[in-house]
Formats: sequence, C-alpha cells, structure tokens
Amino acid sequence: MPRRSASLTVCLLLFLSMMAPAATLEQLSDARLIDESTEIVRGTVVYCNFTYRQPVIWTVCEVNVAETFKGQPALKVQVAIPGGTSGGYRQSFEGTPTLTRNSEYLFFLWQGKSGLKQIMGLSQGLLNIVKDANGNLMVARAKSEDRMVTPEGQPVEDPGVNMPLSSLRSRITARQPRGARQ
Amino acid sequence: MRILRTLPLLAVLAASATASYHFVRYSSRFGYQQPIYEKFDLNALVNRTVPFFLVSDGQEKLAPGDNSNALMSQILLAARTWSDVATSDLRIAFGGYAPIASGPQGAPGIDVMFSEDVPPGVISYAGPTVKAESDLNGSEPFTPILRSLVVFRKDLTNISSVAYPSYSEVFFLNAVHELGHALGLQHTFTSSAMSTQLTRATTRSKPLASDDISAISILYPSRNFASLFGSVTGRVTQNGNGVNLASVVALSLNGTAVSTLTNPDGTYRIQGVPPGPYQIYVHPIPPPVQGQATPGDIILPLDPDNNPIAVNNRFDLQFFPGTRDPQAARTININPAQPISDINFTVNTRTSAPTLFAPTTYSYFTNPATNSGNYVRPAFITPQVVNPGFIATGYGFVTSSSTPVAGLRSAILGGSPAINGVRGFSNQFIVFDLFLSGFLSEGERHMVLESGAETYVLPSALQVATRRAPEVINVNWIASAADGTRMALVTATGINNKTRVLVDGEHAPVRNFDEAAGTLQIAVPTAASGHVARVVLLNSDGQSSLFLRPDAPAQLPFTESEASSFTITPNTINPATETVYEINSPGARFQSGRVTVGFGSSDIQVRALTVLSPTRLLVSVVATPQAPSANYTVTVQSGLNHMQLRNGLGVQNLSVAFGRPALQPDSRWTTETGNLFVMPGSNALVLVAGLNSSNPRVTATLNDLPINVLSAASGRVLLQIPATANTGWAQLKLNIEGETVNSVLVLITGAAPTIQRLEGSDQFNIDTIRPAIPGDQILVTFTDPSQSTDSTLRANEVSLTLGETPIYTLRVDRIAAGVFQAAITLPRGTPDGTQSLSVIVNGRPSSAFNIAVRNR
Repeated sequence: MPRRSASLTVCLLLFLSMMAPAATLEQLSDARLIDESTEIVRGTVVYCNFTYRQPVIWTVCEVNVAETFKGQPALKVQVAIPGGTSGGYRQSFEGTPTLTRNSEYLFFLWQGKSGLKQIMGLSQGLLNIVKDANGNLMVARAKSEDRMVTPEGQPVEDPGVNMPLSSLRSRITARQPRGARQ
Repeated sequence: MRILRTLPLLAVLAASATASYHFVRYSSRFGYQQPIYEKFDLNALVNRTVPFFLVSDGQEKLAPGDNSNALMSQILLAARTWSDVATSDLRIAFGGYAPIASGPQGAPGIDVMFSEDVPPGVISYAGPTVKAESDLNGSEPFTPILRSLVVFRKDLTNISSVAYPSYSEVFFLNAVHELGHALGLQHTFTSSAMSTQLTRATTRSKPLASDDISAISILYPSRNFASLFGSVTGRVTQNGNGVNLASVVALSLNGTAVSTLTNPDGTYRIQGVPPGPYQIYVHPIPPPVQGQATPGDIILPLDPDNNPIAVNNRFDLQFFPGTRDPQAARTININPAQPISDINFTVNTRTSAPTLFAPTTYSYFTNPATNSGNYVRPAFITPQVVNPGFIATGYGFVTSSSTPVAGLRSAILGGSPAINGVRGFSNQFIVFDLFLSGFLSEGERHMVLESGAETYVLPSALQVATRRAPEVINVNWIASAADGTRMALVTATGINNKTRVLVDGEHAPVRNFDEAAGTLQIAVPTAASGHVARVVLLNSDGQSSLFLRPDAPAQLPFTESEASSFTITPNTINPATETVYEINSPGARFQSGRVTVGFGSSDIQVRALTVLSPTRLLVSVVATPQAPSANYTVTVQSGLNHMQLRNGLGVQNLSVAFGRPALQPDSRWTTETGNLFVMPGSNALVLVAGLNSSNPRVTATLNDLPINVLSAASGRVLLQIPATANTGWAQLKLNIEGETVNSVLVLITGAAPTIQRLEGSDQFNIDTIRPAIPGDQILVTFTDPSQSTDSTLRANEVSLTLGETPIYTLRVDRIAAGVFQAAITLPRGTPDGTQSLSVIVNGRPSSAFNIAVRNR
C-alpha cells in the first residue's frame, strides 16, 4: 500500500469525486450546486403535468415560490424532470426524483438551451424542507458520508441531514457576487 | 404510494423473477408471481436485431487527443458487448447517424445522443419508452419497448475538472451500463455492469458479469439458455408477509454472483445460474444516498393500477438456511435445467434501513517504467502489487476520521487470501492488508463485512491475477498481409495467446503471437488519414493495459489515404420492399465483418451485406410499410472510418406511379426440397410475391452472371445454381416478362463444418486409449470453410448433437482462420461405447465424428 502523499490522495479524490451512484453522475459539492445553478428557490409543488419534447417525455411540475435565493424573483417556477407518461407512452430513467404534490422543497435549478429548468444532478439539487421540533425550517436530504470534495481535492463539509435553512441561506448569499444577492 | 393491493397468490405457478432486475409491472390477470417485463419484441425486429442510432453533430467536446470517430467506436463496442451474449437472442446493430432522436411513434430502436441540455452533475442517463399498456396476450406477457434513449453530456472535458476520454475504463463501462438500461435492465447489487459505479467490478477486459449475462438472457433467451443454466426459487417473508424487492443472491466461491429482486409477495426465481456450488443469501436494498431518488435507484415495480410498490429494506442479511454466518451457510449444487426450489428466508424486522452498504474497493498499481502509480478498481492482487492489500470506502464501516469503525470484522469468503488487518488511511478510506500464502488461484473473491448486527457481502470485491497487467512497449506498422489487410506489430509485456487488442473501439484480430519476442501481429481496422488511434490490450484475467497507463495508452497514427465518400445506387426505395443497393467508395478498404451500413431510421434497415471488393459493397435493404416519404442519411462504417451521405436514399411510393404492386422476390430461398441451405450445384426455389402468371418468361442472373431458370409458375421460380458459384451472399436478379424486379441478396452456403479432433481437459486427444468420461469437459475443434479469415462465432450459432441429444456450449473460440474450438460437457448418463458426435453451425450439420466413451 502506498504511503500517504498529497498527490496520491488528490488523484484518488479526483477520481472518486467523479462518481456518484445514480444514473451516471458526478458528485456536486454545495459550492458547485450554488455556483452553477441558474436559480435557487424554495417552494411548494402545486401540480405536475407532462410534456413531450422529442425525444424526451418531461414531467413538468409547477412550484409556488416562497423564496428566491438566486435568480430573478418569481411567484412560480416550472421544474422539468426527464421521464413520465404522455400520449399513451411511458418513459423511465433511473435516478430521477418524484416530486410530491403539496410538498415543499429547495430546488437548485439549471436552465439549459431548451429553456427547461432542470434539477442539478438529477436529484442532488433537491432538498426536502422540514420543520424541527421548534418549528424552524430545516433542509434535509439522505445522509451521505463525507466523501464530497472540491475539484481541488479539498473536502467539503457535508451539511448532512437537517441543516437549518437559515444557514444554507447564508451560505448561498455569501457565494454570490454583490448585486446578485436577493 | 398506495398500500399494496392484495392479488391472488397463484400457488400453481412457480414464481417468476429475474436475474439482476428489469422494468416490471404486475397485472390482475397474472398476479404477483408473473412480473411483466419491458423488453423489445424480437418478432417486430428485422433479423431480431434492434438498431441503434447516433445522434450527433460532431461538436462534442472531447478530451485532448480524443476524436469523434474514436468516441463513436467505443459506443459501437459497448453495443456489441451486449449483442455478443451467447445466450441472448437479441442482436444490436449500428443503424447509422440520425439527425434527431426519434420519438416512440417510430419503429423500435435506440437513440444515443449527445446533448447540451444535460444539467451539471449529470454525465449520462438512459431508459426505455413503452406504451402505457402491456401486451397480456400470448404465453408470455410483456410490455414492448418502442424506443429507448441514451443521453450523454456533450461536454466530456470537464467532469469534476477531469476530462473523460472515450478509451478510458470509466467511459466505456458507463456506455455499457447505459445501453443495458436501454435494453430493459435495471440496477443490480452484485458488482456487475448493471451495478452502480459504487460497487461495479467489471473492467474493459471483462465488461459483463454473470448477473448481466443472465439478465439479458432472461429477457431475450436463446434456445440454449435454459439447458446451460440452473435456477433457484423460494420466498422471503417477514412476520408471515412477503418482502418486496429483497435482493436474493446465488454466490459461488469461484466469483460468480447471480441475483434477483423478490416480487411483492416475496417470491423469487433466480435464473441463469452457471452450474456449480453456491451459497444463497438475501439482503436489503441499500437506502438512497446523495444523487439517488429511490433505494438503489431502482424504478419501483407497478401494481395493476400503475402505482409504484414500495421497497421493504427493513431487515438484515441472511444466508440460507437462516444464518448470518457464511461459514454455516449451506452449499447448494446447481445444475443445468434442474431447478432448486424452496430456498426460503424468514427475515427479521429492523426499525430503520441498513447503515452498512456499498463498499468500493481499489488497488494501487505501480508502473516501474514510469515510476508512477494510479488507483485501479476493482481491487486487484497481481505480481505488480508489492504490498498486498487494497483500500476501500463506503457506508457504515469507515469513520469520519478515516479509521475502521470499532468492532469491524471482515473476511474474504473462502478464506484466501486472508485479511491480515484493517487500518486507517485518509479521506474516508481504510486499508485492508492481506496475507498471501501458498498458491492463489486466479479469479474473483467476495468480501464479507460485519459491523454490529449488520452484515454486508460485496461480490467480486477483490480480483486475483497471477500475471502482471499487459503493457504496450510500442506499436508500429508492418507490411500488409497477403489479403491486403493492413497490419501492425505490437510489442508488449504481460501478454499471452489469449490477449486481445483494441484499436480505439475496434477489435484488431491477432494473426500471430510470438511469446518469445513479446509481439502480436494484428489486423488493423481502417481509419481516415490523420486519425490517431489508442491501442489497448485486454487479458482474460480482467486486466488491461490501461491499468498501468490510464492516461497515455499507446498510439497508432494513420497516415495512408482512406476513402472519405461513397455513392449508392439506386438511391430510392419503396415502402414495404426489399432492394439491393450497390455502394462504391474509391480508395476504401472494406473488410468482411468490419463494415456496417445504416440509414438513420428504424424504418429502413439492412438485412444482409456482402463485401464484393475493398471498394464495393452490396447491401440488401428492407423498408417497412410505414416508412415515411423522406430523404435519409446513409452511413457507411468501415472500421474506424465513418462516412456519411446526406439525403443519400429517398423513400418514394413508386407503386402509385405504376398502378400495380412491384414484384417482390423473397430473399429466403430454399432448395427445391425445402432445405434452408442452398449450396453450389443445387437447385434453388424462390418465391415471388405478385407473380400470378402460369408460365411467365423469366431470366435470372447471379452476381451478374446468367443462370438457368428450370421452371417458373404461380409465384415459384426454380433456379439452377452453378457448381462453380462462390459461397456467401450473392445478388439475384430476375427479369419477369421483360420487367426487372427488385433484386435480392441470397445466401449460398459453403461446405459443412468438419470436426477435426476432440481433447479432454488434460489436453490429451480423446480416442479409444483415452476415452471421454461423462461429466467431463471436452474441447471440440472444428473447421468451417464458410467463415472468413478473421470471423468469430457466437456460442449460440453453434450446437452439437451426441446421437439424438443436443448439447450446447457457452463459448466458441477462434483458433485460426476458419478453425474453432467449443467446450462442452459430456452429459452424465452417456453409455459406454462409441457415440456419434456432430457439430452444427448456423443449422449446417457436420458429418458424424466417433467419440469413445467410458464411464468411471
């Protein structure tokens, strides 16, 4: 086994940072989630519909926006997820999340050339909004071991389960250039 | 999710489930023991072949030194990986480049596209499109896949600041994985190609594991599948109730792991298990981790109301019968076509999902030539690993300070090599030190981890190789072969007579191996001038030359001019017809078996292709009745050279112009006695649709040479095939009453195969002095003169008969040009004496070969 060395460790971490377990993904750090998203909003799913843009059937969910962390403020936003049922056809892709009507989420969204706003990393950019015992809003996702790293190989703190929304809000704000902050 | 509907438990039927997992729904009519799979309808495909199309504008952003043709060649190779599964009847063929991906309204096919509309964090995804309703008629209900889609990110240069070269292990295995989804496979937990990246243990050299082979074969079984493999059935219950989506695994100490997920009533059936001794265990699907939407990212099965049925993963791993200790597990011998039943599990109830799961193992390879090292996964033990051991990370056994959790226990199943100790490393990794003693047999090893009350088994955690990884020293062009094939000489270390060579994504057949000199003479695929290909060596132990040089594989530059364009004649086709086209490409080097032609549409497919000369092809094209009137891009793929002709073929409905249907000869001609194999010197019967005359004037040519028409009446034309006719595809043209009808490609069959010799596993010839023993393996060497120089044979193209008993083989190796070797097991119960053995290649039987048999 090799002695620990910075370069070897970085190589290993770079290699590992590419891998995430679903579809084929690269793990996104909180920093990348914040920096590379075009929009970050907190909102409640009102309803979901389907639209077909050849060759993909998209599940498009309308979200009532309660708070905009990044991007232009809007009352509603439409979130598109690949896969769904339309026109008598059903299309399935592993790793795509299912949004539940009347549930509140934090969305890290990315808008591509098609104009559709997709969740970063299929489901990496989707956090549940829950309340703690004191009624404070918390963001939650499936706990992961701290194996996320930046491209430079530096470990990134994993907020893990049940991070206060206020903390995440501060982090988002801190990473945005002045003038872009909401 | 709704509460599971209770469906009648159809006790009469044995439970039906899968290896690996598929896209599943259940119906009221068939109940929970009969899952309905999503799969392609083989009967709706030309030649049982699903075409796949590349949707690309050639503007993909690639790693430095990578190029579009190399990238596409890797995808073609990934498709061939699935197509070459011997026990699957589904073939996959390149259908050319398409301008856009087709929707589900088109004919069946797979679109592989590179898209800018893929968000950060996603590299690729794939899946099938089906009709919302299943076909419940017929003996086997299924949901037809209408179209599948594979989407890759267009920018492969920046994945966590690292470029993703197309020749890399990661990209290729990713392509194999996504195409598996497109064919109807879901994730599995046996470290196979269809496992997620966390636990996948396949390599470029061995891209499919037993679980993958079983999974695809269950969806599209060939005639030899059931006779070559065994099965296990049973039920998993918890407090008397069936457990949905429990993973049940048949695990062999020789490295094999085949699994299935239970039905909602807890029943299961593992199919496609290679013969041998196994332990069977059940384990819960891991909970979702970051990036996963559901446990294991499984798309949940649907109940009859199309509601997803939740997974139950609140229990602990258990070996049969009822133990957590693999040492106490029962060993069950699985034999072909002999189902094992009643392997039942009664599992406990956990209050939470498991916390110990998804270990990922790595080795560190040192290359003394470059004085550098790199991490390889899965973990390998080879002569190049100086300090034996491996590192691992995962959930539930590593602390945040990168040390093993307190009380962690670990072992390699079977005990060899032994884990000598576990210690901390860094960044969430720990080290497993191994103790090597005595002889280590080559192959895969499974690892067991125990932490507290939880146990986890990682199949293929470690792979043992007794030889060093191959490494290319240099590659140089040498003189062309006598048949005009361009040749190269690869000088390398770590190679043997089974080493295979890839030039980008194309196999380069080895024409000569010199062990003393360490060289391989390879037949190089064609490529455009200026192309620089990467040369990779693959060994049968799972290692490749990328282990030592992942970032700088050997390069082979192409400098000779190569064809860049072609013509196709004629350039129109009628819907619902089959027509032969001639493709001419000056300067091309077409090689039989190394050329494909496609039209970018499932409605226009190639049924047969023949290489007339290095610059000339004949291709028989079928247009479906619903082929839209439009112009299509024609693609000719010759090795690594991809040529396209936009608007090269137009679909027109010419019958409207003439007012009557065109005469259509059937390409499936037979001898006048109905034999499928028409040989030189025989008479051939051709059926012609629309020929109603009782005595029409008919003339015929075969490859433009006149042949005798013996009779013609009422849709039947009898021809005399010259004894001097060449074997292979030939163009048949008929002129009926002065009208030249659509020509077709017909197959003239060569001489029958011939068995040359039989050898036992001890490599001694089998004869009266050393007779064959029932139950033992026999190597059958045979020749097939109808095969071209570099042709290989798939195992499902070959079968044997011992008297009246059919025997199938899992593997057929090419020994030399036209010479092949099949491994079979002499059936137990074969009586003493002389038996007649015959080999059958694509339906053509050899003469009988006597085999002496003596029971022990």
